[in-house]
Amino acid sequence: MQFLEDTHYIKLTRAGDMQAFGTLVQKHQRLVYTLALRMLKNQEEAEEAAQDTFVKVYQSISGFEGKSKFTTWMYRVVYNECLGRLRKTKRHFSLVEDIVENSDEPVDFLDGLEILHREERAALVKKGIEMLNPAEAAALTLFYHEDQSIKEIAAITGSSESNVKVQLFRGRKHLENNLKKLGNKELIGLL
Amino acid sequence: MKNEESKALDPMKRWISEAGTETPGNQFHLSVLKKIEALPQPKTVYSPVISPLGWKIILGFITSIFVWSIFFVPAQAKNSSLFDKLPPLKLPAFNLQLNNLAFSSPDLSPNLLLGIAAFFIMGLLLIVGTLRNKQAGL
Repeated sequence: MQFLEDTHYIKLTRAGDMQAFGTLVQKHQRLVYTLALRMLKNQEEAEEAAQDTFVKVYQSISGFEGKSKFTTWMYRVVYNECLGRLRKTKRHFSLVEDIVENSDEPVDFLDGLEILHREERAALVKKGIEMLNPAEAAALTLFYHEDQSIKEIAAITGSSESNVKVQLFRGRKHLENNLKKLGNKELIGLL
Repeated sequence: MKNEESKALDPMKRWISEAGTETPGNQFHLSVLKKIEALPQPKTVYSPVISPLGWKIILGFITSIFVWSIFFVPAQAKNSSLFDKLPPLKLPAFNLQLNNLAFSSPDLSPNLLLGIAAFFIMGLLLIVGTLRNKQAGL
């Protein structure tokens, strides 16, 4: 499906065209849902959070001034929505250090990961991201997948740029460690 | 630029790209639109302080003053007013005589009649306005 610029749909939505907003949702639903899922780790809740995000976007689209990119503004809404849900349920996540400490590390893990088939590696990376804490998972997703700059991520998360850099650094380290742990079985068989 | 190049070469970037995006359910965007449609409508309905009818009455009043001042007020002291040219209103004389008691009949000049008419129009507007406000309150 071919999409036009966001500004086109925003203009039509402001004029009361619901179909235009529906198209805007279709354009961004995958990215919003992905970010929600990476943070909440639950498909149903992520879908609900993504839907609520779009409802909030619709409600405040008239106030969108266009000073930042529409996607940056939208990611800020979904980030805060997920953060609110996490705070409500007071969920705790297992520390990655605790998981990794007990794992046996292969000798050359990164090369080993390259040996894996693309699909196997993708599944492994997904699991690895799932084990990250929400803030790190969001930072990595926004930086690597959505190609957001550090400045934009800082605007989305409401953190300072230095904080985002720290989150990215820690997220990378933790993801590597998670992948090492998760990939042990597969790689031992291959190496 | 340097950051972009290093980002492109970063194996982490490739792995996360390979992991791809997640796809929500087929009816995702329809569910969003349904949620939006189900949103409660704002209860407060704002109406203008002066209704269109009110504006029409005000405009009519101003126009009538304008017309009156053009046609009915004499331009000079010696000139006669259009009021003077109006035919005199002859009301039937009140003629009741009871034991030599005579009742005076009122002299209804055009000016007095205009004043009485204006009074009743104003009163009518007040009543209509009050009734409309009561209906709006319901």
